[in-house]
Amino acid sequence: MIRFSSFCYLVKEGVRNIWKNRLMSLASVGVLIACMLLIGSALLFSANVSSLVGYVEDQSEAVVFLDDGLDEVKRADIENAIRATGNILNVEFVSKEKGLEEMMDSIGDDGILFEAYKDSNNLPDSYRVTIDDVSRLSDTVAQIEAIDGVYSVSAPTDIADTITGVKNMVYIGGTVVVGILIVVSLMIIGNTIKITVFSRRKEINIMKYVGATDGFIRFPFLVEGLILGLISAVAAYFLLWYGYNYFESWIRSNPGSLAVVVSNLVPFSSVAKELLYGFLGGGVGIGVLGSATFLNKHLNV
Amino acid sequence: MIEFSQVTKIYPNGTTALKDIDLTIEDGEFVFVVGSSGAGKSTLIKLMLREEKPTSGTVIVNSHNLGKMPRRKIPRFRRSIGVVFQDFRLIPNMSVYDNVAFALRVTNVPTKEIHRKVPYMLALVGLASKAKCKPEELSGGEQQRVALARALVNSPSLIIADEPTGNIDPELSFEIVDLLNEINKLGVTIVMVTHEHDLVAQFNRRVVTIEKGEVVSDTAKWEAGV
Repeated sequence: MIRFSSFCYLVKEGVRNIWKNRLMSLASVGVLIACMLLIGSALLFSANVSSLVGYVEDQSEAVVFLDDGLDEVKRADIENAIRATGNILNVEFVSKEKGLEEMMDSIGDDGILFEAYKDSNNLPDSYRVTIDDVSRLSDTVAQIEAIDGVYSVSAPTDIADTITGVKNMVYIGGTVVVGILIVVSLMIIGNTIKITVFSRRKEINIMKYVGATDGFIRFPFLVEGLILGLISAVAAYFLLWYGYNYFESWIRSNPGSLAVVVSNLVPFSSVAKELLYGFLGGGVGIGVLGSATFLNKHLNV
Repeated sequence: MIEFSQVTKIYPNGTTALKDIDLTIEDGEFVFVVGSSGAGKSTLIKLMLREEKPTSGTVIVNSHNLGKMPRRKIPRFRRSIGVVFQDFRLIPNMSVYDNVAFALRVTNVPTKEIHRKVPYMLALVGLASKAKCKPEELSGGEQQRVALARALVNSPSLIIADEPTGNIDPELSFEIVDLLNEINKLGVTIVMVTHEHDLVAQFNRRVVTIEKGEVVSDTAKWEAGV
């Protein structure tokens, strides 16, 4: 097996290569940082969109109005049928009396005007239903409307469609961007390795003649890729941290029409760990993978 | 021992570099391989180093059948051979010491052994005082002696020298060959490719002449001298 002293020597060689080709190393670190910043921003953006969507989802209630004059047995059947759609978090019965009270409350002081209707209440009984997955809202509403005894359903289907659209867009857009960035990072790392191989072709040639194994020839390049990946990951993490906190404090002091966004802003600390591990894993992965892949191409060992 | 039997080498572009070569070099021999450029000398060396495989026939070096040797065994095989080139192939930004040590460092040799062997080798080639110099500060002859120290440091049983005096002043060329001669006396087999007939004439050694990919003469002066 490889000796410790040899290991140290090879690691040192890898570090030396970075310094020898510092301009190219800087370029690859720069591009890697840019890629990670974009990936990180995309993730933070989608985390915030999810948080916002979650908030809106919690607010999304459907009101199921019932036909007039149903008895308790029939109502229980309807409640069961509503739950059976499988997309329901909570069902709350609102009697016509309670419905009127709530309406009066919501109007405020002038609600007193409806006092007279208490004896001739024309409001229907209803169920207030909290929806689980908003993206399936239209289907669920259609299912509930088909239940016998349901007069009508009032639900924010427009908002639900918009939210679902935004969610999908962020997801697809994010995946495409991240995919492209990973390919770009691999190409840049590959190019750096290519240049290093070229600048070290004499040494590599001699290594082959004196009987160095393929592993010994490759090792410094892997170290180089690993270190470039690590540096990029750590730098990108702190840059993103600083940038996000800056953005957060700015939007908090200038909320404007974005008050809902501000109150649902995801704090950096809640995604910090995942981001750091993701960056480290991604940086090291791309660094080593890029080195290994392009090494075989350029290094005919 | 090196043994070529009925070796033919045809390159992918159709060039026939060697035709039906039979050649045996015993352990401890000193052999000059001469011939004009393009005669097939370089191909002969490439086959001995397993840089190329023969198209047909067998090449056996130090009891390894090179045509059948798997790739992963090549590094270990090459450690039993020292190679010297016309252009020295020293690493410019490394000192003389590091250039020689390089051959040991990249072959997983313990540091202690490196510190013991390198000064010994530099002393052997007469460059102990230049250990800290960069190659560019040395003359061509000195650079070639560094390359020779590097070739020797892994204690090979065979040294292959490819036109080692091609880039050196004639008066210094003699020194290099003389050094090879001394190394040969320690039991190391030497195969030296050259086209400098004057130099060959000064040493009373076996001379193999190659023309157009064939051995045209093999004067076994060395054996005659025994």
